[in-house]
Amino acid sequence: MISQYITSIRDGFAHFKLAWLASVIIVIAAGFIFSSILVAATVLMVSIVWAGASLQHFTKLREKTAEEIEASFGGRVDSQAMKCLENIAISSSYELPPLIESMDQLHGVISDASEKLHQSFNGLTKNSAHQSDLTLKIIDQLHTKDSDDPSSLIFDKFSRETSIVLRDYVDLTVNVSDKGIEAANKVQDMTVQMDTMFGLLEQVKYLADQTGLLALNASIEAARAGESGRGFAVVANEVRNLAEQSAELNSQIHENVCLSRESLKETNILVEQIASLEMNHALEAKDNLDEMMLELDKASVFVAESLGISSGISKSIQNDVANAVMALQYEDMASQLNEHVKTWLVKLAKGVEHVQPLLDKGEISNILSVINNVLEKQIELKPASNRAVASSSVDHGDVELF
Amino acid sequence: MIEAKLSNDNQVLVISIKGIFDFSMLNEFRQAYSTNVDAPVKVIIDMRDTTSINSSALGMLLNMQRHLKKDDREIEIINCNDVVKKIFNITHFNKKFSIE
Repeated sequence: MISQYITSIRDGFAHFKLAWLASVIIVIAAGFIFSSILVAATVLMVSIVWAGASLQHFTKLREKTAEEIEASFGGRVDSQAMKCLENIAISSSYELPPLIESMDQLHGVISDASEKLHQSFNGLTKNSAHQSDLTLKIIDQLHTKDSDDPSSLIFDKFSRETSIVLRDYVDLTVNVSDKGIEAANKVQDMTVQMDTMFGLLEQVKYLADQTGLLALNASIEAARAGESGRGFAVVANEVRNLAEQSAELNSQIHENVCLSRESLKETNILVEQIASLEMNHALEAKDNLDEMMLELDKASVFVAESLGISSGISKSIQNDVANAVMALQYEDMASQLNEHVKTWLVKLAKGVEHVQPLLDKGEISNILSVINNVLEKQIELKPASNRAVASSSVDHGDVELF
Repeated sequence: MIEAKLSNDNQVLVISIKGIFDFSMLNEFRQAYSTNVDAPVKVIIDMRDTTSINSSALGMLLNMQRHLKKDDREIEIINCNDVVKKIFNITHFNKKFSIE
């Protein structure tokens, strides 16, 4: 039946095409050979009539074929439709309940994950704010409060004070050496004076010796004078005793001065130790200090910069978290969509339940009318709310943070 | 070792210090500037051959300065090596003496 129909269509087309082709060729030929418009027009009209007849034949053929199809399929469509509806009802009763359950699970999973994400982001915001605070405090601490220059760090103060300590140390060293050398000079002066004293003591000793000798001579002369020189002999003896005592005292003084000279020598050594400090330590300290200052300068610049950057990063984290939290509002939409789908699935399941008993006994036209009733009610109930969520993006409009 | 030379016109006294300038040169150095001290207007400490110094040298120079400044004499320190110059710099001797 269909093949016949197709053949008829093909025939119609063939006639139509042939008629057009023939008319065109004849028009051109007539134009060339006879140069006569009249002849060409005549031939053209004939060919148009021919083509029209072919088109009519084609239309009739098509209508006839549609009638034939409906007549031959009519009985079988009813039973096929019943079978189809039955199958849909059975498969729906299997598929729909688990689907509804899955929608419930999906809802649970989404809201659970969302809650955890909220908690995490809240924690992140709090910690980031804390970190930012700390950074600001560090920056604050590092800047010296007594300085006029707000950009000067505590390192600068430290380096300045270290320089002062080193300068004080050097000044002290120089001062001690200055006084030490002065003391050493005085010790030297005293040593010279003591040598003079030794010379004087020698002279005193010489005087005592001479006095003793004189006293001895005097006592000899007194003995020679006999009785009359007796008194003189006593005096001479006394003088000799005094000379001996004087010599004794002289030697004691000599001894003490010698001890003093020894003490001065020791003092001289001590003064030398005090006054002689190696300057290499001070030089090394100075070099190290200069180097350290340079390093500290670099470090303080680096620390200041890094802290600034860190503070910026903290703020950027807070912004990112805020954006993430905002994006989490999708969860709300997902839940609404989920709910929407679930509602429809439940309705569908109820509809299927309603139709099932009718399938066993009823006719297809009854069943279809029941289904149509149900569908029309749905259409009346929800004319506009096909979408659960008005907007598909969170970027639009203000969204309250959780 | 210390050498003290007086110029022909007795105007300038040059004291040359050889080796390590430290406490062991105390008396020698003192003698060099105090015994020839009557005439010269200017005293030059020549450190061309001074290898190193310690703090006692600084004390000796200050004592010499005090001794000579009583009579307003000019003092000049010349030919210091780098280390000695560094020591003079950190001890601010370059502000107390004329150092070449």
